[in-house]
Amino acid sequence: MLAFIRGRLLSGLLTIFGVVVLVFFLARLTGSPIDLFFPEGATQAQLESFSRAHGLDRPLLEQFWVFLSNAARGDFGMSIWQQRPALQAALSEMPATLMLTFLAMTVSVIIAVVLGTIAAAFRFRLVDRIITILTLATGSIPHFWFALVSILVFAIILRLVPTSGAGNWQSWILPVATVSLGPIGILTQVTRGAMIEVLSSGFVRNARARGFGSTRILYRHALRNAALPIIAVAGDIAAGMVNGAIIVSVVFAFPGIGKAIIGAVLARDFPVLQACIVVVGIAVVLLNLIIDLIYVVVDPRVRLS
Amino acid sequence: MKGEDVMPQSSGQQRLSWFQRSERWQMFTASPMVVASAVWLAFIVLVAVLAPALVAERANFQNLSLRFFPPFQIEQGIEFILGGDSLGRPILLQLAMGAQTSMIIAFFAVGISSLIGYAIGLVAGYFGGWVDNSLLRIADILHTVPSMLLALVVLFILEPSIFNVIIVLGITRIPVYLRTARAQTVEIRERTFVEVARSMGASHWRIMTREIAPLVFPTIRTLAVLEVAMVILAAASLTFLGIGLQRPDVDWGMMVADGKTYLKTAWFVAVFPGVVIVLTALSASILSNWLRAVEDPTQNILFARKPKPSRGKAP
Repeated sequence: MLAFIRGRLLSGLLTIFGVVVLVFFLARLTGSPIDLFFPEGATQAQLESFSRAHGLDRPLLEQFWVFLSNAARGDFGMSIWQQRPALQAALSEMPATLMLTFLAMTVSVIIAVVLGTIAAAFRFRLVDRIITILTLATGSIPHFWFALVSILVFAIILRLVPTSGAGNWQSWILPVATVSLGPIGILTQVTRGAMIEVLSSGFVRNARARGFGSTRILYRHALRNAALPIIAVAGDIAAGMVNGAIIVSVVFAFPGIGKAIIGAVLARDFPVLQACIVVVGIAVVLLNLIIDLIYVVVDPRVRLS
Repeated sequence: MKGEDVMPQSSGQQRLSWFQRSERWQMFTASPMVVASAVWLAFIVLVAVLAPALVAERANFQNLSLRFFPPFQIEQGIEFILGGDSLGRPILLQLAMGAQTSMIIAFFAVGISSLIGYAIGLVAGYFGGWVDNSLLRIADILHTVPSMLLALVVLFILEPSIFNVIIVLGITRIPVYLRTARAQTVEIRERTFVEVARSMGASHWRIMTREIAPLVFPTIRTLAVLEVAMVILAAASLTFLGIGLQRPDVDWGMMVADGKTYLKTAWFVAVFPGVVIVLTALSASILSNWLRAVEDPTQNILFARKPKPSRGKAP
């Protein structure tokens, strides 16, 4: 168990290191990273003094080393527009995003497990087909459009929820729905597939032969075993939720890392953008680690491998 | 399925027999939804090819008196059936112009990522070892950074243009194919017919291209069709955020962004382009799902045959 966690942690650290390297080389892609750190219209003298102060006139390898050692200390430079460190600008937006991700994850897993189980129990019947078509449809609706249409219907026409912000709990409904939409579709498909496989396996037939009712078999015997693929896929989806969070911050003026990212892009604030990528990368790695641990707890067989 | 090992396909080149082909056609026509999806995609491609030559001028003609002209009225001619946008341009024709952008991006981005991912995945899976490990690691890293964030950063560095959107999406979607192609190759490489080919002195190149690749191809093709949907959505998200393209280039995501501000007064400006995105992406998903069912009829998906087939009559 400990060895497993250590292995996962190491591989996670390696991935985060890779993300940091990626960030460094992305900035050098243009040839002159100085342009990235300054808005258009900066004077030549400003550029040169910045270049000297940050060692951008040094050899690439030396720059890389300096960047790495700074990044290891959590120093991604100062934000150009906000008078505070870039890392702080990124981190201060994380709580809202983590909350959004947590809520969306919970909502989508619950809905997906219910829908997927129904589809599997009635496979190839009309209910199953309707659910399958719906799940395909949810994957085909762009986040931003769903967000706008939901504002139109629920905020403007029906006046049930506010159009933007994150003041009260009502204002969380549409953002969570927007972010959950895609994952519900994927997870429903996974649940359905896993349940169908489990339902046709020997121990379920055995349970049926022993005279247990179908509901009991579904929930007590089958769902437990179908949980593994659902958990595994949920980890994959976590990274995708940040995509939704970016859109949500634009459409609903919702706080979160998306707001920091879009703000950094619009203000050409490259240090903040760099810090955001690293912070998101670490969050995704940690989330995957947590999901791996849940996986181990649910399925003792994983511990051995 | 057991027969495969007993009677190995001497070459990966599978030729569809007349029997299989006719069955495939039946599976196609059997589902009206699949036919509708194919027709819709063909229609969009046709529009994408024809629109720039036919309606480019009228699509971009700004008539401010027709600003937010309401939809479903034909007083201004059929081109205003979906209303006018914030500059009095006909939404229908703008959609047609947007079709071209979206199709070009989808076609090339999917083409680039599928070819590269397919090739690298085959090589990595076939040879294994440290190359395989490091490639998987890179794919992992790309996977850890959310695709849209990565695209945002790259487009932040590069200029917004159709070409750069293609490059960004082409590269960020490579891991999807790489993982799939690799996983399949690892499995296929252990099969008897590959061993037979090897014992008969086939080179690595020949085994990869003639024995393994053709068996991996159907999966990659199915995935590529699905990825058309994903790329259309991703590209639209980028242009919606205002960093993918600049006017006069237009695509559906950009049109939704244009309408965002006028949601209260003119809902149709934002809603119609979204409907077109959903229909197109959904068509591609349905087709992909159908392809999967055709390749593996035992799999339980939408178009799989029901478990109680009437096998009585000849196909």
